[in-house]
Amino acid sequence: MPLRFAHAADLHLDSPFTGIKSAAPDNVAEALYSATFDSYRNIIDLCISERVDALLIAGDIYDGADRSLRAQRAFIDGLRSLDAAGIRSFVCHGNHDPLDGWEARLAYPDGCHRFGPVFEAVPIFPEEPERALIYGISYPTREVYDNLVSRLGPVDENSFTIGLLHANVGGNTDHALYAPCSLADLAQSGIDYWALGHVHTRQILHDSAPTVVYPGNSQGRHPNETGPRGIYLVEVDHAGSVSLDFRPTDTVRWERVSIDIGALETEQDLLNELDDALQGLLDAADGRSVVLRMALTGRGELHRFLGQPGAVDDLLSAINDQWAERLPFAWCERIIDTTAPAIDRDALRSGEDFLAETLRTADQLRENPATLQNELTQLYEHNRYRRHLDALTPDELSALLAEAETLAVNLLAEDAR
Amino acid sequence: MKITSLHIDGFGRFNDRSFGPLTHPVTVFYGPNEAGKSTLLEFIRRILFGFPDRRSRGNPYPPLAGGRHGGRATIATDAGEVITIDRAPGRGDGPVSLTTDAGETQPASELPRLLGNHSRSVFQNIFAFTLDELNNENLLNDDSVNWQLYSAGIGAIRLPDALATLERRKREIFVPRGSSQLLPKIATNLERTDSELQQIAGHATEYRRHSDRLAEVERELDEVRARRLQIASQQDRLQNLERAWEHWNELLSAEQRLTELPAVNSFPENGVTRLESLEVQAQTAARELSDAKERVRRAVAGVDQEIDHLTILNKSTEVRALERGRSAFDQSVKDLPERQTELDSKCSELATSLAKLGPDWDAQRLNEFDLSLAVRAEVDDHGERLRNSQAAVASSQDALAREQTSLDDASEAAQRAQSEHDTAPPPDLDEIKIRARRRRLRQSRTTLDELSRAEARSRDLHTQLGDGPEPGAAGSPFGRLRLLAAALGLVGVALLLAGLWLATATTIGAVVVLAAAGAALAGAALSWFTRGQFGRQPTASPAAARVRTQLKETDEELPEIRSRLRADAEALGLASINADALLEAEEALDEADVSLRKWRQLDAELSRTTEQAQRQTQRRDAAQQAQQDAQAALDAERQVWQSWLEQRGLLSAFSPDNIRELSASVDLARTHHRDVVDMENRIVAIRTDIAEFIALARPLAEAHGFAAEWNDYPGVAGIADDLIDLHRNVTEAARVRADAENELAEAQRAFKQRQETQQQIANDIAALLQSAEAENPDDFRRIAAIVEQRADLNSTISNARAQMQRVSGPGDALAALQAKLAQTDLQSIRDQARQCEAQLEDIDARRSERDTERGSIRTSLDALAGEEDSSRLRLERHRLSEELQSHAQNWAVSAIAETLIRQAQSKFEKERQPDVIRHAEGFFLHFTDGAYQGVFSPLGSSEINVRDAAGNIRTPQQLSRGTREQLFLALRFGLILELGQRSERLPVILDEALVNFDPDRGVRAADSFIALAETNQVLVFTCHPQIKDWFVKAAAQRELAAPAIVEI
Repeated sequence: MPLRFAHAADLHLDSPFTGIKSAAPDNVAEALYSATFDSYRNIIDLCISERVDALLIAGDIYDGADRSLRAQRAFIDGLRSLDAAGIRSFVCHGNHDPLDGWEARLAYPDGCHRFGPVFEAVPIFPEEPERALIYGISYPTREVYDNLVSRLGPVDENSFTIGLLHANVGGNTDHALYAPCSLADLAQSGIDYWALGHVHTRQILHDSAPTVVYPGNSQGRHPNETGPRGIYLVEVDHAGSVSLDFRPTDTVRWERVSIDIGALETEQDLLNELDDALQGLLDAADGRSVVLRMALTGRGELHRFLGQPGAVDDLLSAINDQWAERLPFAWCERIIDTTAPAIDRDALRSGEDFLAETLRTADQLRENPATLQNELTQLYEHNRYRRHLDALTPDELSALLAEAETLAVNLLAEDAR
Repeated sequence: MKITSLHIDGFGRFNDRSFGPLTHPVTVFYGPNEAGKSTLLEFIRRILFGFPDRRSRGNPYPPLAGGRHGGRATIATDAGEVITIDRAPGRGDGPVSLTTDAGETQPASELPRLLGNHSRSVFQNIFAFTLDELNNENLLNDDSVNWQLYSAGIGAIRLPDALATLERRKREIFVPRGSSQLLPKIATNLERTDSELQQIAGHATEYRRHSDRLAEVERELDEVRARRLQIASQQDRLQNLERAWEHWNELLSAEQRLTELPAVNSFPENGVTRLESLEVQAQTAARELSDAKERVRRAVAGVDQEIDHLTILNKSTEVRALERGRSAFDQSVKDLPERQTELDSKCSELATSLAKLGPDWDAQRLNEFDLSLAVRAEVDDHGERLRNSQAAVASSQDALAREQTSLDDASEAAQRAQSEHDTAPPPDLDEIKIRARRRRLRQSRTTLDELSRAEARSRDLHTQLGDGPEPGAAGSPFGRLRLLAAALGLVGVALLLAGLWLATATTIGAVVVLAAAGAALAGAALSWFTRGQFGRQPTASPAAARVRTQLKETDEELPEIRSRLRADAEALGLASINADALLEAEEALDEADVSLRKWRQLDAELSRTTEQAQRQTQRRDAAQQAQQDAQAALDAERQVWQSWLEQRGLLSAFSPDNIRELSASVDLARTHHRDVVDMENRIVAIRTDIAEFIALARPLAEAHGFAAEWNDYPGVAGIADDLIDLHRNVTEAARVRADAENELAEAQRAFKQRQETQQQIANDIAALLQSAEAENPDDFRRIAAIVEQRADLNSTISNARAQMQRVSGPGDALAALQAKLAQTDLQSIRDQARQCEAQLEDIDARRSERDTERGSIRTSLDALAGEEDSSRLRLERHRLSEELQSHAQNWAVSAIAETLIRQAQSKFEKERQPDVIRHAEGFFLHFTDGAYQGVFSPLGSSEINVRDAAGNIRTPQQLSRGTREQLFLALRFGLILELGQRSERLPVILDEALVNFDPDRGVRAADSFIALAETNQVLVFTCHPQIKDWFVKAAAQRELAAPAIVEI
């Protein structure tokens, strides 16, 4: 019964970082290209150094649509390293790397088992098949909307059983609703440990009997994928009790920082605040590099400085010049300025002048921001650009309206208001 | 809100100045130019709305007359609150405090509410304005001037700029058909990146094609490899047969020859070699025996030789001492005369040195003279002090000379200045008188201008009253009216008579109508005629009455102005006041001013040069004292030096430099003395060495028969050499005889040993022949040849078998090989081998070709799988997409901001503008007395136009300056009324804003301000008495109390 394995998912090898606006300097760009590979290499090294019995990967190893030979070859190379170290590997495929997707026809090592389009049970230890069994299934095609758990038949009650599946449990709205199932479906399946993939934020949906785990992706690739990313080391004792140990494997860490300018008086105060924030992120990243998105918020005197043409870009260059050239680096991909002037908006709005009328007009539009769509059709319905531009949601329109109001106040205000 | 009082602590020219209480609705602040009216207006603006920060370009109005910068204003709001606002310049708008009339403090944040939430800009443009701000030419040149004026009151002074900025921002990002903006550039990059990514995606197909071909090639290579192994194996077998063929033939031949040779029973190993060795040893032993015999003979002859002077060997120690001292003796004999000569020379140098020092110097005094470093340092110290003192004396003498020269120059300059001062005439006028006359001149010029304007006004009024034809003359309006009235009267009377006549003949109604018409026409004619009679008097018209009143007032002003001019002429000493006289008086004042400044310059020059001469005298005296002090210090140093010389018995004439030279001479003489003593000691040592050498040689010479003259040093040297040679020869002869005795014993022992060796060799040869059963050495050699042939054949057979075994392999394979060889021939084997080789060449060529192809495919696969461009391109694609989204959102922000502003603008124009325009129109009609009938803003336009009484439309630019200012004033009145309906009514302050109005329109404008004062406090700043009078007159017309007049 004792068993020790690594549970990973959503490697997305060679998938690019998204949400980045600025052009990265060479050293940063190079780190970003190779981050998913480096993270995968960390997983392989961790498996070997921890002497696990097996590595389980729950889908989305690479994006088949990208047809990245580099990704598939690197993946096979890693599995070969495990095989050479006597560690078996078990792989199922998800919506990004379905079985009918493009594949480079590389030879998988003997110690690797890839699950097909129907559930099958495979022993982790071929010489001791009763010790642990893995029930796994791969997506035959990209879009699978069936509840795959319902296809799982009776499981062996005498072995420790693991389900390897790429699925959306409980209808997580942040991810596509592929292979949907409920936690109850999983609990009733008879499986002891569900090794899941698909949701990029790690979470333990059920602690025991069965243990249901999303390890999250192994390398954050988006401003919303902040904080440590990695895999779970899973240890099963003689009694079948499961203990989980999260191990970060990311090499570049995403972070978001928000700084309120309300208490800051000078540009130097702001730079000092930014420096402190970046140093704090690097310290917390434990030797990793950091890519961050910075938001400046609040009302204050510095708003006027930030509103000057090019001021935010200059600020971005200043901090990147200082922090992006080092190793580990901290690189800020953009600064979002949502600061507002140090004004009493309610007092302004209650006035009788034009500015007050403008603010009242903004309030009227705020009640139904969708009407603003009409003002933007010239660009957002333009033949050339509409395919590149996402339609703006009501929330985004509200945010744009708030920015527009601040801009209008800045342009109309006659003095330091 | 009203301002009830002002107190200025310090602001511009004002210090600790109060105004108020300002209780009247209208207050006129009257004072001449530069009295501070504009300063007071700016003070009110800043107390209410704040001081500009220090970086502002505006006049800071520092407290020139002293006091704390700032002050306070007490206001009363429409709601009845009384608040004192105290403010001074500082951070932000300047620290402000609010205090109620009960002494309670209110938070500063209350101030905007008290001021109706109006901004400083609104106050300055609408409520409190100067003439320049009312009619700004630069604003008029601006296309959007009307909107700016209009928008000044609604907080949108920057609206056109804001809209232009938003449009510019949008256009930088995107225009529908543009190609140089940000979005098209990013989209182009994005599309290019997509294209490159698609191209790279094609690599996947290529990778699969290469993979398939690689598998095919590897299969072919496996087949080729197997076929090659098969053929190579056959080729190996054939090559083995060919290699074994030669050995097979050798084996057969050797076996045949062995059977033909005789057998040999026994033969010693290496028999022939051993026999030949013993024969050589026998020959060598015979030769060595002969040599030993000769050696014995030679040794006996050597032992018998005789030796002379053998006894000298007993004195070998003395002879070796002679030999060691031999060259030293020659050197001593050679050195002795040279050293004697050198001694003479040294003695001569010593005598010369002593003679130079003086007659009382000898060797003892030389050694006693003190040449220590301490004494030399003392001499140097004295020398340094003396030189310093001498330099100080020279320096002080130079300084004294310079100061004396400067004193001479300064005295000369003072005398020259005194001379110029005495000869220049003193000025006629002092500065106070000149300033008083200039003030009087400016006043006279103003009065002269006033007289000129009053005379022009008088002429203008006379003209308006009409100096033309007399009333009633033909062609005059009155004449024509009277004729018309007479005609109407006649018609009226005729109709009346006709009515009365018809009363008897027709109906009553017709009679009444005709009678009434006649009566009416007659009445009208009578009335018109009567008014024509009154019209002969100009005063009969109200307008003429006004003109006449103004004319009377002007005529009353003229004597008073002329009286003031006469007083000014008297004060300035002029016969009369006119422009030329004033110019002449001003030029005279300029000359007096120049003369006064020149005389003051001479006076100042005299004072300066006199003071300079006094200061220079003091400096010369100081330099003289310094020179005397330096000379005294030098004398003291010289006295100390003399004492030092006396203590050492030296001449008093010696200077420190002389003492250093004396020390050098004594040092040199001491060196000469040491040289003489050293040379004397060296000569004594040479003589001793010669005597010791002779004492050693003499006994030896006498013992062996050598006679010599011992004072003859060369002879002594010759005998010493003979003794040394004799000892060497005797020693050699003795050694030769001892060697001969040893050689004899050794030669005799060797002779005996050679005889024994010769016998042993003969015995060994006999034993060897016997072991091979040979009779003699030749027979022994024949048997040995047979044994050797048999051994060679056996070796050949063994080698051939070993070679064939190596080819066939171990065990029984040799037999099989031999069987195959027995069944074939060499040519057949070679033919088959050549066929195999040709087949292998074909296979190798094919394999090489496939190997090359496989390497190429693998390289391609590695390149395709290892390319990193796609990683970079995918990252770049997402980044470009993000950048495009971001810029699109920036565009959207500008577009929405523009929408906000335009919607607010539209609403303002629809809802607020009509009231403002309507109010303004009423005021403008009143100001112009109906000359203009309307003010309006075309729909959808922000322009302001006016319509005159004839219906013509005019823009502000098409109006005269005065009328344009009246229009702008009317617009301000409209805005003041409009704003007053919504918020606190602020005081209205105008600074000389009416100066370009003619008197009629001026009074009308004043009348409007009087009316406005019912709701808004009015403060008027002017230096023009007529403006002050307009307000007084307007108040009188409304039967209201006259405005308060404050003189400043």
